[in-house]
Amino acid sequence: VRALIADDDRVTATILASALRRWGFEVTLAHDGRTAWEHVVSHRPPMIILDWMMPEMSGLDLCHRIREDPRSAHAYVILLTSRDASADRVAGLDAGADDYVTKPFDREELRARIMVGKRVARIQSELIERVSELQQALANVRQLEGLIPICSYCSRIRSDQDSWEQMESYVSAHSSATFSHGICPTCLEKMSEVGEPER
Amino acid sequence: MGHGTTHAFDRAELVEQLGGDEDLAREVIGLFLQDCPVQMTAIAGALAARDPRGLHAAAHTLKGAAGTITAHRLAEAARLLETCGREARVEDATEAWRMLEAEADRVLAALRDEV
Repeated sequence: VRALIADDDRVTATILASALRRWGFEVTLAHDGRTAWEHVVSHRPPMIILDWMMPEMSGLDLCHRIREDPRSAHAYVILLTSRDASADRVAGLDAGADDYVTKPFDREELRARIMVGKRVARIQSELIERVSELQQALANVRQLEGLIPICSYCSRIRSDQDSWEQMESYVSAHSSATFSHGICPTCLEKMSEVGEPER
Repeated sequence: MGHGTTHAFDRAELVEQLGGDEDLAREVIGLFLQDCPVQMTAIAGALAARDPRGLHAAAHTLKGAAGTITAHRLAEAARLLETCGREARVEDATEAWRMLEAEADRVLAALRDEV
Protein backbone atom coordinates (compact mmCIF):
# COMPACT_ATOMS: atom_id res chain seq x y z
CA VAL A 1 0.00 0.00 0.00
CA ARG A 2 1.27 3.46 -0.91
CA ALA A 3 1.49 6.08 1.84
CA LEU A 4 2.24 9.81 1.85
CA ILE A 5 3.83 11.39 4.93
CA ALA A 6 3.74 15.18 5.13
CA ASP A 7 5.72 16.78 7.96
CA ASP A 8 8.05 19.77 7.92
CA ASP A 9 10.09 18.31 10.79
CA ARG A 10 12.67 16.01 9.21
CA VAL A 11 13.24 14.08 12.46
CA THR A 12 9.60 13.06 12.78
CA ALA A 13 9.22 12.45 9.03
CA THR A 14 12.27 10.16 8.94
CA ILE A 15 11.06 8.12 11.92
CA LEU A 16 7.56 7.82 10.45
CA ALA A 17 8.88 6.80 7.05
CA SER A 18 11.08 4.11 8.54
CA ALA A 19 8.23 2.74 10.66
CA LEU A 20 5.77 2.65 7.76
CA ARG A 21 8.27 0.95 5.46
CA ARG A 22 8.74 -1.69 8.11
CA TRP A 23 4.96 -2.13 8.28
CA GLY A 24 4.85 -2.84 4.56
CA PHE A 25 4.07 0.58 3.07
CA GLU A 26 5.64 2.22 0.04
CA VAL A 27 6.41 5.68 1.42
CA THR A 28 6.69 9.15 -0.13
CA LEU A 29 7.78 12.15 1.98
CA ALA A 30 6.72 15.78 1.63
CA HIS A 31 8.03 18.61 3.83
CA ASP A 32 5.39 21.23 3.06
CA GLY A 33 1.67 21.29 2.37
CA ARG A 34 1.81 22.29 -1.28
CA THR A 35 4.20 19.49 -2.26
CA ALA A 36 1.98 17.08 -0.34
CA TRP A 37 -1.11 18.25 -2.25
CA GLU A 38 0.64 17.88 -5.61
CA HIS A 39 1.56 14.31 -4.71
CA VAL A 40 -2.01 13.56 -3.60
CA VAL A 41 -3.39 14.77 -6.94
CA SER A 42 -0.83 13.01 -9.14
CA HIS A 43 -0.39 9.71 -7.25
CA ARG A 44 -3.60 9.29 -5.21
CA PRO A 45 -2.03 7.49 -2.23
CA PRO A 46 -4.63 5.47 -0.29
CA MET A 47 -2.95 6.31 3.07
CA ILE A 48 -2.05 9.89 4.01
CA ILE A 49 -0.40 11.01 7.27
CA LEU A 50 -0.41 14.77 7.78
CA ASP A 51 1.22 17.12 10.22
CA TRP A 52 -1.04 20.06 11.09
CA MET A 53 1.33 23.03 11.05
CA MET A 54 3.33 23.07 7.84
CA PRO A 55 4.63 25.79 5.52
CA GLU A 56 2.67 26.63 2.34
CA MET A 57 -0.52 24.79 3.34
CA SER A 58 -1.63 23.46 6.71
CA GLY A 59 -2.61 19.85 7.30
CA LEU A 60 -6.11 21.09 8.09
CA ASP A 61 -6.45 22.85 4.71
CA LEU A 62 -5.08 19.72 3.05
CA CYS A 63 -7.75 17.61 4.75
CA HIS A 64 -10.47 19.85 3.32
CA ARG A 65 -8.98 19.70 -0.17
CA ILE A 66 -8.52 15.94 -0.07
CA ARG A 67 -12.17 15.42 0.83
CA GLU A 68 -13.47 17.91 -1.72
CA ASP A 69 -11.60 16.34 -4.65
CA PRO A 70 -13.22 13.14 -5.97
CA ARG A 71 -9.76 11.87 -6.95
CA SER A 72 -8.66 11.75 -3.31
CA ALA A 73 -11.89 11.81 -1.30
CA HIS A 74 -11.69 8.10 -0.42
CA ALA A 75 -8.10 8.19 0.96
CA TYR A 76 -7.55 7.34 4.64
CA VAL A 77 -6.17 10.43 6.37
CA ILE A 78 -4.49 10.57 9.78
CA LEU A 79 -3.65 13.94 11.32
CA LEU A 80 -0.48 13.54 13.39
CA THR A 81 0.16 16.67 15.41
CA SER A 82 1.34 17.99 18.73
CA ARG A 83 -1.80 20.13 18.96
CA ASP A 84 -3.54 18.16 21.66
CA ALA A 85 -6.43 20.40 22.76
CA SER A 86 -9.89 18.88 22.50
CA ALA A 87 -11.01 21.71 20.19
CA ASP A 88 -8.11 20.87 17.84
CA ARG A 89 -9.16 17.21 17.67
CA VAL A 90 -12.70 18.26 16.83
CA ALA A 91 -11.49 20.69 14.16
CA GLY A 92 -9.21 18.03 12.67
CA LEU A 93 -11.91 15.37 12.44
CA ASP A 94 -14.44 17.94 11.17
CA ALA A 95 -11.98 18.91 8.43
CA GLY A 96 -12.16 15.34 7.15
CA ALA A 97 -9.42 13.41 8.96
CA ASP A 98 -10.28 9.76 9.66
CA ASP A 99 -8.09 9.67 12.76
CA TYR A 100 -6.17 12.05 15.00
CA VAL A 101 -2.92 11.10 16.75
CA THR A 102 -0.90 13.41 18.99
CA LYS A 103 2.88 13.83 19.08
CA PRO A 104 5.08 12.55 20.49
CA PHE A 105 3.34 9.39 19.32
CA ASP A 106 3.58 5.93 20.79
CA ARG A 107 4.95 3.62 18.09
CA GLU A 108 2.73 0.65 18.88
CA GLU A 109 -0.41 2.76 19.12
CA LEU A 110 0.38 4.39 15.79
CA ARG A 111 1.02 0.98 14.22
CA ALA A 112 -2.36 -0.28 15.44
CA ARG A 113 -4.16 2.83 14.17
CA ILE A 114 -2.43 2.67 10.80
CA MET A 115 -3.46 -0.98 10.46
CA VAL A 116 -7.07 0.08 11.07
CA GLY A 117 -6.59 2.60 8.27
CA LYS A 118 -5.09 -0.03 5.99
CA ARG A 119 -8.13 -2.24 6.58
CA VAL A 120 -10.58 0.59 5.91
CA ALA A 121 -8.65 1.64 2.79
CA ARG A 122 -8.77 -1.94 1.47
CA ILE A 123 -12.52 -2.26 2.08
CA GLN A 124 -13.00 1.12 0.43
CA SER A 125 -11.04 0.18 -2.68
CA GLU A 126 -12.85 -3.16 -2.98
CA LEU A 127 -16.12 -1.29 -2.71
CA ILE A 128 -15.10 1.17 -5.41
CA GLU A 129 -14.11 -1.74 -7.66
CA ARG A 130 -17.41 -3.54 -7.03
CA VAL A 131 -19.44 -0.40 -7.75
CA SER A 132 -17.63 0.13 -11.03
CA GLU A 133 -18.29 -3.50 -12.01
CA LEU A 134 -21.96 -2.96 -11.25
CA GLN A 135 -22.04 0.27 -13.24
CA GLN A 136 -20.45 -1.59 -16.14
CA ALA A 137 -23.08 -4.33 -15.93
CA LEU A 138 -25.84 -1.75 -15.70
CA ALA A 139 -24.50 0.03 -18.78
CA ASN A 140 -24.75 -3.26 -20.73
CA VAL A 141 -28.33 -3.79 -19.62
CA ARG A 142 -29.27 -0.22 -20.52
CA GLN A 143 -28.17 -0.73 -24.14
CA LEU A 144 -31.38 -2.71 -24.65
CA GLU A 145 -33.55 0.08 -23.35
CA GLY A 146 -35.33 2.61 -25.49
CA LEU A 147 -37.02 2.36 -28.88
CA ILE A 148 -36.00 -0.68 -30.96
CA PRO A 149 -37.20 -0.61 -34.60
CA ILE A 150 -38.30 -4.12 -35.47
CA CYS A 151 -39.76 -5.57 -38.69
CA SER A 152 -43.35 -6.72 -38.08
CA TYR A 153 -42.95 -9.61 -40.51
CA CYS A 154 -39.55 -11.17 -39.99
CA SER A 155 -38.72 -9.66 -36.57
CA ARG A 156 -35.33 -8.36 -37.78
CA ILE A 157 -34.08 -5.33 -35.92
CA ARG A 158 -32.68 -2.25 -37.56
CA SER A 159 -29.16 -1.76 -36.19
CA ASP A 160 -28.41 1.37 -38.24
CA GLN A 161 -29.89 3.28 -41.15
CA ASP A 162 -29.39 0.60 -43.80
CA SER A 163 -28.83 -2.71 -42.08
CA TRP A 164 -31.20 -5.04 -40.37
CA GLU A 165 -30.05 -7.95 -38.30
CA GLN A 166 -31.50 -11.07 -36.77
CA MET A 167 -32.99 -10.54 -33.34
CA GLU A 168 -30.58 -13.16 -31.93
CA SER A 169 -27.43 -11.44 -33.11
CA TYR A 170 -28.77 -8.00 -32.11
CA VAL A 171 -29.60 -9.06 -28.56
CA SER A 172 -26.32 -11.00 -28.24
CA ALA A 173 -24.36 -7.92 -29.27
CA HIS A 174 -26.21 -5.57 -26.92
CA SER A 175 -26.43 -7.70 -23.80
CA SER A 176 -24.73 -10.55 -22.07
CA ALA A 177 -27.68 -12.86 -22.92
CA THR A 178 -27.11 -15.97 -25.03
CA PHE A 179 -29.67 -18.07 -26.89
CA SER A 180 -30.51 -21.74 -26.73
CA HIS A 181 -32.66 -22.79 -29.67
CA GLY A 182 -35.84 -24.85 -29.34
CA ILE A 183 -39.39 -24.83 -30.77
CA CYS A 184 -42.58 -23.58 -29.12
CA PRO A 185 -45.86 -25.60 -29.17
CA THR A 186 -47.59 -23.17 -31.60
CA CYS A 187 -44.82 -23.43 -34.16
CA LEU A 188 -44.64 -27.17 -33.66
CA GLU A 189 -48.35 -27.41 -34.57
CA LYS A 190 -47.91 -25.22 -37.66
CA MET A 191 -45.00 -27.39 -38.75
CA SER A 192 -47.09 -30.59 -38.52
CA GLU A 193 -50.02 -28.95 -40.43
CA VAL A 194 -47.67 -28.09 -43.29
CA GLY A 195 -46.49 -31.65 -43.10
CA GLU A 196 -43.74 -33.35 -45.02
CA PRO A 197 -43.41 -32.14 -48.61
CA GLU A 198 -45.25 -34.50 -50.99
CA ARG A 199 -43.21 -36.81 -53.06
CA MET B 1 6.67 9.85 30.01
CA GLY B 2 9.83 11.33 31.42
CA HIS B 3 8.94 15.00 31.61
CA GLY B 4 10.52 15.37 35.02
CA THR B 5 13.73 13.61 34.05
CA THR B 6 17.06 15.31 34.51
CA HIS B 7 18.46 13.58 31.42
CA ALA B 8 18.83 15.75 28.37
CA PHE B 9 17.15 12.99 26.39
CA ASP B 10 16.13 9.39 27.00
CA ARG B 11 18.19 7.13 24.78
CA ALA B 12 16.41 3.92 25.77
CA GLU B 13 12.99 5.47 25.08
CA LEU B 14 14.18 6.80 21.73
CA VAL B 15 15.52 3.42 20.59
CA GLU B 16 12.34 1.73 21.77
CA GLN B 17 10.25 4.24 19.81
CA LEU B 18 12.34 3.34 16.77
CA GLY B 19 11.55 -0.34 17.14
CA GLY B 20 15.07 -1.09 18.41
CA ASP B 21 16.72 0.34 15.29
CA GLU B 22 20.12 1.74 16.44
CA ASP B 23 21.10 2.92 12.95
CA LEU B 24 17.89 4.90 12.64
CA ALA B 25 18.52 6.39 16.12
CA ARG B 26 21.91 7.67 14.92
CA GLU B 27 20.34 9.00 11.72
CA VAL B 28 17.62 11.01 13.47
CA ILE B 29 20.08 12.29 16.10
CA GLY B 30 22.22 13.51 13.20
CA LEU B 31 19.19 15.25 11.66
CA PHE B 32 18.26 16.86 14.96
CA LEU B 33 21.83 18.14 15.45
CA GLN B 34 21.50 19.88 12.06
CA ASP B 35 17.93 21.14 12.40
CA CYS B 36 17.77 22.25 16.05
CA PRO B 37 20.21 25.20 15.59
CA VAL B 38 18.22 26.29 12.51
CA GLN B 39 14.98 26.28 14.48
CA MET B 40 16.68 28.11 17.39
CA THR B 41 17.81 30.80 14.96
CA ALA B 42 14.26 31.11 13.62
CA ILE B 43 12.91 31.51 17.17
CA ALA B 44 15.57 34.11 18.04
CA GLY B 45 14.74 35.98 14.82
CA ALA B 46 11.02 35.99 15.61
CA LEU B 47 11.71 37.25 19.15
CA ALA B 48 13.95 40.03 17.83
CA ALA B 49 11.35 41.02 15.24
CA ARG B 50 8.54 40.75 17.84
CA ASP B 51 6.73 38.43 15.43
CA PRO B 52 4.25 36.24 17.35
CA ARG B 53 3.23 34.14 14.32
CA GLY B 54 6.84 33.39 13.45
CA LEU B 55 7.56 32.55 17.08
CA HIS B 56 4.55 30.24 17.24
CA ALA B 57 5.52 28.37 14.06
CA ALA B 58 9.25 28.02 14.83
CA ALA B 59 8.72 27.00 18.48
CA HIS B 60 6.03 24.53 17.39
CA THR B 61 8.38 22.77 14.97
CA LEU B 62 11.16 22.56 17.57
CA LYS B 63 8.68 21.26 20.14
CA GLY B 64 7.69 18.42 17.83
CA ALA B 65 11.26 17.46 16.94
CA ALA B 66 12.46 17.67 20.57
CA GLY B 67 9.55 15.55 21.78
CA THR B 68 10.22 12.96 19.10
CA ILE B 69 13.90 12.73 20.00
CA THR B 70 12.78 12.31 23.69
CA ALA B 71 14.36 15.62 24.81
CA HIS B 72 11.32 16.31 26.96
CA ARG B 73 12.60 19.34 28.89
CA LEU B 74 13.59 21.00 25.65
CA ALA B 75 10.16 20.22 24.23
CA GLU B 76 8.58 21.79 27.31
CA ALA B 77 10.64 24.98 26.94
CA ALA B 78 9.65 25.13 23.27
CA ARG B 79 6.00 24.66 24.27
CA LEU B 80 6.21 27.70 26.59
CA LEU B 81 7.57 29.79 23.71
CA GLU B 82 4.93 28.42 21.37
CA THR B 83 2.23 29.56 23.83
CA CYS B 84 3.80 33.03 24.05
CA GLY B 85 3.64 33.21 20.26
CA ARG B 86 0.07 31.95 20.01
CA GLU B 87 -1.14 34.36 22.67
CA ALA B 88 0.92 37.18 21.16
CA ARG B 89 2.87 37.71 24.37
CA VAL B 90 6.31 38.04 22.81
CA GLU B 91 7.50 40.25 25.69
CA ASP B 92 6.84 37.42 28.17
CA ALA B 93 9.06 35.03 26.23
CA THR B 94 12.43 36.15 27.66
CA GLU B 95 12.47 33.70 30.55
CA ALA B 96 11.32 30.78 28.36
CA TRP B 97 13.97 31.66 25.78
CA ARG B 98 16.72 31.56 28.45
CA MET B 99 15.45 28.15 29.52
CA LEU B 100 15.33 26.94 25.92
CA GLU B 101 18.88 28.10 25.16
CA ALA B 102 20.33 26.40 28.24
CA GLU B 103 18.42 23.18 27.61
CA ALA B 104 19.31 23.13 23.91
CA ASP B 105 23.02 23.42 24.78
CA ARG B 106 22.68 20.48 27.14
CA VAL B 107 20.71 18.33 24.67
CA LEU B 108 22.99 19.05 21.72
CA ALA B 109 26.06 18.22 23.81
CA ALA B 110 24.51 14.94 24.95
CA LEU B 111 23.46 14.04 21.40
CA ARG B 112 26.91 14.84 19.98
CA ASP B 113 28.32 12.20 22.31
CA GLU B 114 26.00 9.66 20.65
CA VAL B 115 27.21 10.01 17.08
